[in-house]
Amino acid sequence: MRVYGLNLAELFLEDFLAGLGLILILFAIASRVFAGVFGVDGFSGGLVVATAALAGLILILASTGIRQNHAALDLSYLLFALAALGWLAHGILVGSWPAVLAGVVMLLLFGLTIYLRRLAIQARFKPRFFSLRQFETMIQIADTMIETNGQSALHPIEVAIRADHFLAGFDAVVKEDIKRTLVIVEWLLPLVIWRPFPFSSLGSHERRRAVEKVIGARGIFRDVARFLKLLAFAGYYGSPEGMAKVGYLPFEERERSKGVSQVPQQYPDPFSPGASQ
Amino acid sequence: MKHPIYSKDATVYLESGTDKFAAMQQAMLGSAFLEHIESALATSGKPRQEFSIAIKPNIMTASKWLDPNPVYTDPELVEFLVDRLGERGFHNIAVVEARNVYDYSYQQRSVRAVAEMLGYTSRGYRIEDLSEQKEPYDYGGVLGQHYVGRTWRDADYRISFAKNKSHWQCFYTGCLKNIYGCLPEADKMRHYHGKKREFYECCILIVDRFPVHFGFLDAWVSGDGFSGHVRDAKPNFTRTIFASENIFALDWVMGEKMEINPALNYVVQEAMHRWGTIQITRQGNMTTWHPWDNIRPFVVLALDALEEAYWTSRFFSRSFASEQDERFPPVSRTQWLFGILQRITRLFEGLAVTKT
Repeated sequence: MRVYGLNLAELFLEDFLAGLGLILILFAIASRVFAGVFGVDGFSGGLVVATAALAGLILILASTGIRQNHAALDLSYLLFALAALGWLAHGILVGSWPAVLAGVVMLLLFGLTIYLRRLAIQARFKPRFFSLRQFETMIQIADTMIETNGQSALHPIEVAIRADHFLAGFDAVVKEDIKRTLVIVEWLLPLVIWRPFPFSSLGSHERRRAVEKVIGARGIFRDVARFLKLLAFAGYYGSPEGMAKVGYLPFEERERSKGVSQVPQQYPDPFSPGASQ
Repeated sequence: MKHPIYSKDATVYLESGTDKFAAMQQAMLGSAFLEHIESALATSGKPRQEFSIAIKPNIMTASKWLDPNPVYTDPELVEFLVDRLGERGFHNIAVVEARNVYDYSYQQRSVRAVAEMLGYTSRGYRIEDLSEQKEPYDYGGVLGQHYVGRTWRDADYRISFAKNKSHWQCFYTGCLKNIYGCLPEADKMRHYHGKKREFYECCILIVDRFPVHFGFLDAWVSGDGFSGHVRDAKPNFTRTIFASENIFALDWVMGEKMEINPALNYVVQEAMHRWGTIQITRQGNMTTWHPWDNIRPFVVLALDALEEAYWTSRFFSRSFASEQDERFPPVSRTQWLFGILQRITRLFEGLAVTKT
């Protein structure tokens, strides 16, 4: 039994991406062979053909492990979207209906890949507070910030789930700030180490490098580093397993406090009439 | 979140043979079922006569009496279980079910009427319709403030007695999914499906809140293929009875016998997310079923997406309910149209399955 093994949507997505990648490569070759039909003779035509072939190749690479090859997955989605839009625009510009049709079909397939990816994440985590992307960021934050030398009491996914459920449990203005900060972490933080990929797509060492870089920084990024620590620790050390790992024993379980009444002390309201008596 | 029953390591017993009653008897003996219920009785502190037992077989997916029957729990096996309990002095026994989506298409399908059609005699037990005894209850989670059937709520000991069959929503339906049938609303697509609450969340929620103490699986005759949960033209004579005090473990083994990764079943997956992983000991013949048709992952995924919208899921439910015993008249005169759809579906069913 593996609690967070590949789910049905992920399994299907892997097969789908592999098939789609192959079809895109074959289509790129075919469109070049029948260049007249698709109007891909010139430079711009060659560009859209190459984009489609490259997108196909990266899709196949991503399909070899959608969790492990996160960066390839993100890049393949980007290239596929570019290829679809490129074919559509090129078809309109040169007046080639087969090219337009190819662009439309690619766009539809792109929509399907997006849907499947969302479904895969939703089926695994069902976040209550975070968006699907933010939840992925949160998992990687937990993985980066909690260093236990392989002795972790909780899986980073469980840390993220606990943080998510914790944040969903109350109302506060600061919650929107948390979401905004996660967006910054996901899209801007990797840029401090010159990696134009989302934070959740980076490898664990690169993520750690990015975090270490901002720990010593000033301004907004220093606050970001503190925020990351706070969020990860709340999820980890707020759990009974995390508490036990550091030797914390809840008050009611301590030897000295056994049998001690924990009913809150009731004090009279000092402002009620007759309190002075 | 650890659960006192489902998060415990467990043993699943599989008894095969040529006589279903002997296999059932062996399954009860091997799994120490009677000792288990005696222990529960002792813990409850109640007199034996008052100790209430609720048995939830699969009844309401039946559209007509079948022989051989791959669709609903064999009533003879349920009554065999009741008789053994009766011999031990347990007489406060109820067989429970709630109405289901067949109500979209047919009238007068009360639990008693369907049970009577299948041959339940009510000898030594009562038949209780949970849809008729709705009591408010706060489940928390996706269901929140909802209802529970009184008999199920008040039972001291709950037994899930499911049927071994495939299901297009989650590959297969076992003892966990069987308890989804205790949720009292008949319009299940409206109340327990859709964007805000998935059927497997609702199912695991009621199993969590009202723990099932023991599970049996009638795999004597089994239903496979695309529509195995409601009809199967070629029943599989698998001749096995499963038993376990942990229905989560039982359903896991059930998937293994079908050569399916049980974690892909949405209900089992939800159970695993909620209760964590356990160690399972398997006692019995673990050779996979053969021949056996499993539903393709693509089909499960596609139908899950389609049922997000209430009217789509309702339409599909009606399509599958096009055959019914004559005692239950159709709600509308256009029900025959769904019969045509079902015949068309049958032509393409082969594409939706994969063989073991």
